[in-house]
Amino acid sequence: MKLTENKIFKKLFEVTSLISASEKIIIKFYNQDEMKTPMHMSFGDENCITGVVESLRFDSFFFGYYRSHSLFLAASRDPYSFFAELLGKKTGSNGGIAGSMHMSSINNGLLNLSAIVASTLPLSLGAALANKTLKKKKFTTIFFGDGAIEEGVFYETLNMASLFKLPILFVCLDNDLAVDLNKEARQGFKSIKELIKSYKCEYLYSSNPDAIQAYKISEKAKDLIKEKNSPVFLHMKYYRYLQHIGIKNDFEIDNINSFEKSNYRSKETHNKFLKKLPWENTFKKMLKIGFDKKELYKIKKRIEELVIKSYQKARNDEFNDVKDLKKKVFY
Amino acid sequence: MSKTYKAALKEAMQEAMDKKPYSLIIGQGVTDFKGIFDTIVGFKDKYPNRIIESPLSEDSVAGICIGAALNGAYPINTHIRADFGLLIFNQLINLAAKYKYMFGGLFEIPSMYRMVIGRSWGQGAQHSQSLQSLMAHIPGLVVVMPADPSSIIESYRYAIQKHKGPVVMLEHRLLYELSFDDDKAKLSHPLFGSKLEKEGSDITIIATSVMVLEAKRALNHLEKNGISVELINLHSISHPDKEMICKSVEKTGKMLIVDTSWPEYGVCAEMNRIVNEYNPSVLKAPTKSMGMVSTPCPTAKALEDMYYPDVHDICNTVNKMVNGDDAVIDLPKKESMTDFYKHFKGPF
Repeated sequence: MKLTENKIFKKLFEVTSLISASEKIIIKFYNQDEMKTPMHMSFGDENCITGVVESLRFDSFFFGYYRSHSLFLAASRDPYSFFAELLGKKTGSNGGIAGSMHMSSINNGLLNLSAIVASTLPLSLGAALANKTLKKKKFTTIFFGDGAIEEGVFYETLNMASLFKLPILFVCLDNDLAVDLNKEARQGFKSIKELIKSYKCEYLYSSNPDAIQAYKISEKAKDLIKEKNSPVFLHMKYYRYLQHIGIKNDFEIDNINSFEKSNYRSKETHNKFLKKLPWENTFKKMLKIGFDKKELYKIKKRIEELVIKSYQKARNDEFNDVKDLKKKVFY
Repeated sequence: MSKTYKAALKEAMQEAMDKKPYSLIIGQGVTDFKGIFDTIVGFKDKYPNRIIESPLSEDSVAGICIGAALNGAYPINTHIRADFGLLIFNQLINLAAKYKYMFGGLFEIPSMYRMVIGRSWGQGAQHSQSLQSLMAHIPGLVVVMPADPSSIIESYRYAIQKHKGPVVMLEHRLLYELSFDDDKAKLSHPLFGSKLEKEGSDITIIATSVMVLEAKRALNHLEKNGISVELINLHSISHPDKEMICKSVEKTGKMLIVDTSWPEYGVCAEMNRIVNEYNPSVLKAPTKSMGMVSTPCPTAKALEDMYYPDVHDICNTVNKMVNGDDAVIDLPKKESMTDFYKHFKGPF
């Protein structure tokens, strides 16, 4: 195992642990109702996003969407400003105004998360256009779900990225679902792959990767963008463990007979994925390539302690004053 | 020295290119031989990387502008009809307008959206809409309707060089070819103000865009009939000079609003809100509103002439407001603006 690789893989493990621990804290304290913000939980996508963000941290700006927690934490590695934002505190990443759906981390290149499906696709292209026009070395990366592919603006953006040969990485986080609808109920095209291949855009694919696999395929995407100076589409399948929004899965007892009772996926599939949680996949891979089990558990414990401390500290922070309400509109 | 409206626009765009090295102009037709009604003809040769012809993709182009602005550029997005601007409302309203606030003040989106309002020669229901109040309703957007060359030069310069947010410039196609003499009246602020075009004592007319011109013609006629009009060119729709408006109406006691759009829920309604919230007792008579008839715009010229108020309608209304319903004065004949100026023969 090379030294630099060792360092990178360790960081990947730390970040997936951070995301996993943070999501657990949200689930634990959700019903206290102090985090009053619609949360699209990341449980399931943490390996995909961690791998891509670590691979591109110094090469790219990041744009995302409302399923934001993995992306914010991978980019910022800062659970304190994360929880402060969810709790609506002054000390949040965005002063408590953004909540879960609009966080950013400007110092780490995370420029946007938006609640409107597909709306940040063209923004990322604009940043790529400015990179090219102003001769900046960076490119841009945009994360979006498979539902975004059904929006018109997706085609406009893909067309222009291909036409203008802009340095951009499209990362489609494909969980086969848009809210509670399966792709069969939504998509009239044959496959995402065939669709993308009809544009002048490279296509890469990965299915339920561990964080190291995600990192490696992202490195490949980066090389392709640099080599061809044109867009790349990275298609990443993953399993969404929870419902579209909130902390419930589809099969909890208190869902029965409520409007939240699901009928769009099977318990068998869910149980199958419960046996291979993303964090555990990365953990197992780390063991396989020679990391010490005790050391990994030590890292995990350290991060869990940091996360709970961050949450408690953020809870004690102040809320905004009424006089802050009208600040920060454009004029 | 006189100058046309479009020459002022060209000057403003030239200044943006020269003084703002990271400015980009992006839209459909920005490289064609018409160059957005001759306001950027030849720019592509001079600035090949900064004039960007776009596919038919308004929605995403507006998003590109936001992304480019985030990354250090100053994008100017063009729409040869404001009606096409409706296609960018998701980006403009859900993202650009809210970006600074929504992310806790961390980001600025300095950017401009030029939209041209059409009128006459059969522009019809989808090439003639005047959508200022829809956009001025949204906190975070600045919406301006420049009515003359000096307003263009001042407001575009300020927007491009100083303002850090999205600005919508609603230009009026009917004004493009018209020449204007040097203007003595000044805007109270380039983006957040209005212009007192003329002082008067009997009535305040508040007008927008091309209707400022029509109000000026009416004013000249009314003066000859002994009616003294104070005329305010509203200029900034989102941020008008409220003090100027209230003081003027306090002085004259009467207010007529002449807008380019429909009166309901629009500029006319907003002017009434401003004055009534200031002090309703300053009004000595009910206010009146003039704008497009509340239907989509008809294409047939005979109907279109009835659709827009003209100088005759303004004079008639003012006379009744000042002298009473039965008062008779010599009124100018009914004649559409396009017939009067004779310069606009379409097709665009």
